[in-house]
Amino acid sequence: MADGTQNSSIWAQLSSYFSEAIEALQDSIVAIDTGRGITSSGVVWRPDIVVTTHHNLSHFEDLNINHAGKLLSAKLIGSDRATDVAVLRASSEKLSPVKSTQSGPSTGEVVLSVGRSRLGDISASCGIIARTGDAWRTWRGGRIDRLIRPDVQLYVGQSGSALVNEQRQVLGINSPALARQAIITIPTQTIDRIIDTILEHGHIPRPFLGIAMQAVAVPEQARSLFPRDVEQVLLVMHVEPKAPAASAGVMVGDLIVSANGEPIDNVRDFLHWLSGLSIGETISLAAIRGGARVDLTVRVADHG
Amino acid sequence: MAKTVAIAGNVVEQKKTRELRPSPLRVLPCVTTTRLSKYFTALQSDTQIDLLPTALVSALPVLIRSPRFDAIVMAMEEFDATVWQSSSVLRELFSATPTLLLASELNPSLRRRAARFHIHSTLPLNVSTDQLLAAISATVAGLAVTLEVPSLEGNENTVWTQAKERTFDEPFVEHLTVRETVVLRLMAVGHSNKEIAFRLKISEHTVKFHVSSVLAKLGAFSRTEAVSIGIMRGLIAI
Repeated sequence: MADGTQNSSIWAQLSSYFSEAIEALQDSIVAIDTGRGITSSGVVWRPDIVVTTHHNLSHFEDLNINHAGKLLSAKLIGSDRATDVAVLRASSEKLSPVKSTQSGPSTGEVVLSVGRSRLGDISASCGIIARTGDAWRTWRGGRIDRLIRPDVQLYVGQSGSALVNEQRQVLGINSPALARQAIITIPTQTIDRIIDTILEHGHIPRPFLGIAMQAVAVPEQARSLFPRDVEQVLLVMHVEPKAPAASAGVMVGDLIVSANGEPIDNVRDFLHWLSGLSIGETISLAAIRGGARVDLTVRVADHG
Repeated sequence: MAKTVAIAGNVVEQKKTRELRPSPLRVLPCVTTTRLSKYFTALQSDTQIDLLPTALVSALPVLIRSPRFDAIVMAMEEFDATVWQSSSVLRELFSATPTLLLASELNPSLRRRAARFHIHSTLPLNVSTDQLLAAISATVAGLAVTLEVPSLEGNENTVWTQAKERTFDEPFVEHLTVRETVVLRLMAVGHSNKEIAFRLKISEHTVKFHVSSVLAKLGAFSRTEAVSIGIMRGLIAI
């Protein structure tokens, strides 16, 4: 048993499991020419549907994808900046969709990241699941249904690679753009939801009011104007011309105290609340302007 | 020549710097552009310091692996944000090695940015050789040296202050210019540099300049992060 070349050694077994799992994904992983001199990896998610990360794509509708050295053409059908998902249509009999899973991995599970290099050969890295958690919001307000942070390396061209578990199921695609120094896996539920919305609407509707705000402390002299437990309010810094807030009469300098009756004291909460609204809905904002309370009704628009 | 140095309010007599240090200081001169490569020639003949060959700032992350120098002196024509954007490596190097920054135009914004990189000694490019030597030894001794207007008569205008213990995690509020805000808003809707250039009828090079300035001012590492910070700062409409 001291013979390290023994085929049945755990090392050899593990290696062949890994390489077989990667081999099995050959027809489901492509390289996408981003138009910016680099490529990203794409995963064939459904028949004719490829997903990748949005952040490094240029805004061309027609993209080239590379599958094992064969060039195919693809069309960008839509993407969501907030969750960093881009959806492409590419037809070829060669491509077959991955088996995705919605079940959450557990911390410590060994996973593979499988992508394609610029030249079209498969490239992979291995690591463990470093952290898992509940649903969270990205810094652009996009809802990510489950936190998966794998301890894998994304080499050049591997943005958008598939995260694969021991059962050769895909847990999601990997993005380096959702956290400053960590790789985040965009999970299956999120990808499915975005594909469905994009196929239906052509884009992800993004609720928009058209106001830029900053949190400020309640001015001491005007303390009496505000509800007692309110410490911070949102100061309107800019109103986008022709946007819903402008039509509703929101003005630069307004101090927004509450939205739909709920006190809101920081921009992040406001953004998250806004992201959950539907297009066309009307909301009410309570503001203090020149020492008097004003109530404003704003209709949520779609920023596209 | 004996110098009077005020350290945190106390006036102390400082002997000739030459006598304070038995061995010459190893000083690494660096420049941001090759136009300045001859800048340090005057220092070569001085015995007080051991001047290493002039390096480019962009090469610093490589040189860092063999830090066999006591101080770094950097000369630049204008504050080039792109040089700084890159790395925590530089930040670490400057916090570990006494560093002086010489620039053609000194202003509070430059000082703040330099301070973020743990550089507390800032001097104008037209400083005299004596002043520069004195500033180098003071910086090595842990002082922050700032010189507003170079004086030909001596060191009366030199402001010597003790390097303050500061935490640089606290966010610096740097205001974006109107142009930079416009660029940031276009970044927010996902436009590339090329598209921004087209819309604003300026060159792509200028756009890159604005973008790097926006990132530096907001302390962002990426466009996405700049946009996210911009939203929190009330610069981008939601």
